[in-house]
Amino acid sequence: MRLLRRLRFLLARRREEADLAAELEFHRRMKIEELRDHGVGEPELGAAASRAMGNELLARERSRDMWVWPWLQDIALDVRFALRLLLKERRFALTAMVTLGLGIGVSNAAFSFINAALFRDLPFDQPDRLIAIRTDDVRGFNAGVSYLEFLEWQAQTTVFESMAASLSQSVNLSEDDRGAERLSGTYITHQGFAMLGVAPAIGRSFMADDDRDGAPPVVIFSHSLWQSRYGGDPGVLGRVVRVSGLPSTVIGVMPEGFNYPLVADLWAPMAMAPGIRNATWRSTGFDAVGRLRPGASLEQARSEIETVGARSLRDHPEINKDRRLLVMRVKDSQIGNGAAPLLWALFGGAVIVLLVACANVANLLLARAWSRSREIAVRVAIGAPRWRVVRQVLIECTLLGAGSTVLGAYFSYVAFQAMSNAFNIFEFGAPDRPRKPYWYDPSLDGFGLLFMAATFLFASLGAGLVPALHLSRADANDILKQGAAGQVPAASRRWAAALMAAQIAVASMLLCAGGLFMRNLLSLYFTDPIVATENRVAMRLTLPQNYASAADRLQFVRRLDERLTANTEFSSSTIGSDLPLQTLTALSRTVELQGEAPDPTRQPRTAVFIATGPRFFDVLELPVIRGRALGPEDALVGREGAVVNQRFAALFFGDDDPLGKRIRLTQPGPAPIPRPAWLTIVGITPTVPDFLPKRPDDAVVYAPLLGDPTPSRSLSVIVGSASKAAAVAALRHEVSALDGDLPIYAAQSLDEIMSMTRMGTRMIGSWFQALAVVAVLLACVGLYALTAHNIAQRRQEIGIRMALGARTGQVVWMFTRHTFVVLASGLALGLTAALATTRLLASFLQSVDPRDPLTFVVVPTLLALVALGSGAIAIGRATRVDPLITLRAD
Amino acid sequence: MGDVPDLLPGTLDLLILRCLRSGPMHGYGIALQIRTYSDDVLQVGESSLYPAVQRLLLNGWLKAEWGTSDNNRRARYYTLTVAGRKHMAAEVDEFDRLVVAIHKVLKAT
Repeated sequence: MRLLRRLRFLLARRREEADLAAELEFHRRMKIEELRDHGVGEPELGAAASRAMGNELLARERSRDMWVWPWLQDIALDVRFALRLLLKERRFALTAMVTLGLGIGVSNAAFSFINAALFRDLPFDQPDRLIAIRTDDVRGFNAGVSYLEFLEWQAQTTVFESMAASLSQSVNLSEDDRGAERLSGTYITHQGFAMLGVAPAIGRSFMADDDRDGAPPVVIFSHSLWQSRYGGDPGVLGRVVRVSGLPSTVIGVMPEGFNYPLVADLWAPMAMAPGIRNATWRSTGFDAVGRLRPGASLEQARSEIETVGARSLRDHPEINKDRRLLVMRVKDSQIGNGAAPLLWALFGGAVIVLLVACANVANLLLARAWSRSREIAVRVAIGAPRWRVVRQVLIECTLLGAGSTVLGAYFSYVAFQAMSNAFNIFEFGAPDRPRKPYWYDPSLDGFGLLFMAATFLFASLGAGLVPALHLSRADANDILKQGAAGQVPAASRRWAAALMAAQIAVASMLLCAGGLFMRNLLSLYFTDPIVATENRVAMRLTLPQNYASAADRLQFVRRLDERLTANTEFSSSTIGSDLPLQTLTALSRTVELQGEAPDPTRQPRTAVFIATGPRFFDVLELPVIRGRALGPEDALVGREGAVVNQRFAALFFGDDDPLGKRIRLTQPGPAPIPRPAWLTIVGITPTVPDFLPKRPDDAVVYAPLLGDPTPSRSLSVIVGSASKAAAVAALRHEVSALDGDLPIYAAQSLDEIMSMTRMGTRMIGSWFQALAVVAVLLACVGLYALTAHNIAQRRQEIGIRMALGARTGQVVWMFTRHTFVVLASGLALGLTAALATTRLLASFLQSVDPRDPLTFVVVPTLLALVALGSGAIAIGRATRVDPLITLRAD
Repeated sequence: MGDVPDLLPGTLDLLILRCLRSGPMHGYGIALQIRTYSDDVLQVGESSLYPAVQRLLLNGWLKAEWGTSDNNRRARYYTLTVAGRKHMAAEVDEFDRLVVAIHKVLKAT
């Protein structure tokens, strides 16, 4: 009630004060009449009444104090005073706010990533109990698990309430009345959706009966597929569609936004997965997830899985012994290898920039505090308590902080928009349709707001505390005895110089990182891709199950090749199993050398295998260093030939000449009968770079597609064409003439493929470069301010020196020397730290040494020039001073 | 003219409430009545009276209304609220107890 009345008073404050004034006026008049009745003469009446009234102002002040807390009034006063000061010093205020705003902006943008990627809960029921099991191979890549292992875990562990395995593959979706589409499909064991705690929005989920051998095939669509392909028509339930050729009934549509395990357009029961009945211990690539029983711990799960895993390894020697079983929360498994530390590195860089910004503004405030020390000393001298002075400074900083946070929110939005592509998933099947994983939700949540509030507080206090404490300790007596601006105490000058040196150190560290990325990117752009990429478009198609035999597939290749060469839309054309630029995703085959006894104790050696159709080498202009390119005769029985890359030659033959040597390539899995023929090496090509972060180049074997006994069902068609759209339309036309159910997908020009492979490096690099630019900018502002204030403090001294005959050069040197010392110590510190830390970035740098000498020379030189330049501007302005004016100023 | 001599805390509030028991009054009237009833011993200054009135308003013991004075001037009249009446009764009892207690101390040998 009291609070309500208080609030009402505050709202109608103007009226209430007028009422009080009117009331007091009434009181005065009554008093006058009373005095007149007592016979006081007319002339003195007014004065006598006022005397009788006592202190009217006091009455009003005290009455108001009843309603409004006095401290609130004080603060309001301080705020108004601070606002007036900041408005008066607009340039200072703007500099400080932009500086802090940049710091707040980058750290909030970086936090948004961390938050979206690492902190936010998965959109499943009790996501903390969901445990992922995966395996890492020697190179640290996730190899997934095999279905047989999964069944073993499901049967033999006790910590899980339920478990589900899934297998993600590209699938063809086709119907009689709609075009065929290439989509991401996921085969999942029937418990999957129930385990996640998510039910379809319409229709039903999978049941155990759907997941049996020979059960009628069913499929569940994602919400987005339902919308895009059927316009959200509920009549889609019960419809029969072909999933990779298999007629299946649509039984449900998942809720909007649901996705699993990463991105998928449709789900089908595991029993429908091609070849699932023949799954072996070596066919990995399945995702396995389990939901812990209530009370069970991650450690229990880990030890049970490892026990069962060790037993399987003993019973089934074909399991890869070099792999590592990993058991972790699903949340922790979402971010790929190495991405989490990278995100933290980005975040760390951003926080450092915030620190720099704080130090910078602290420096500006400190410098300003010196020039205000006289004003403050007067205030202290006439009785202002010290804490009021401190409060005044802190309020000023809070206002600056508030302004900066508004600016920072805007900066962070801009930075976030620019960077948010970093989370795009480019599916192999649909590179032209980037998607974000379902768990990535960048919207601002409570956590993000909290962080923003934290950066606001941190920035306000971080920038304000040192100057405030400094002022509160100043001795009023000393300051008043000194000249106009007051001499700067040596201690605070050292403080400011140290802060400045720290800033330069940080700026040089970030600049080194940014420079390394820049160099790396440049060298990527200047790396010869070996193959010709201009005006060439690559597209993929995958032959469905009904192309069962090698003869069927090769027949399709021959007929397609005929149609392609006849089509005038293409200036050239060829067909292959994969592209030399994309060996990471290409298939591998086991390699045997003729005359070398197989060693059963060793893992068989593998190499990337690219089956090449007619004219493959010509169309890509893939050069041959020695020997010759493949020709049609190399596909003939008895004359089988192959071309290998230099990496293969070095890896398998060392110093020997590989030309004329014979190798045999076998698909992984049980050895086929009859064994494939021996291939004679007829040529050597250079190694085509894959532009991926540091990893050894792949050994590659090229052999004729038409001579391949086990041709891949997935094919790349490469055509010469300036327009991607025209190429896709023409190829679609040719393919549909051969098979109406075959979609064309992954259409990309080779130039696009090149730029995409460089994108990761570009994204990381641009973040560090942006941070570095901000840090350098801040350091320049800081150095300018420091020098300018230094000079302002010693203006009188300069005047005297110049009056006594000092030359301008000597004065300039006086200040430049100081700038030099600060700069040199900052650079020394920063470069030492950079040398120690940039090797953490090594895994993201393909072609540059993390201690690249050029970077470490150019960066300090550049920074020194820019910093000295900003100092020089300040000095230049100071030396144009007329000694007479400065001496008279006080 | 000086303020009320040192009063026990809360006494001025009590006096104001007591003055208003017989009906609405304006600030000047309250001051006048306290002075008259106390035989000029208690002279309440404006700088004490008006803040005290504001405090009573804040606590909800008084209501304020603009009206016309006997000599036809606009004046602000204060009225006791129900809560104010209750509070006054309690305070008068408390004050009596206090006075008796002080008296006992003073009379003790």
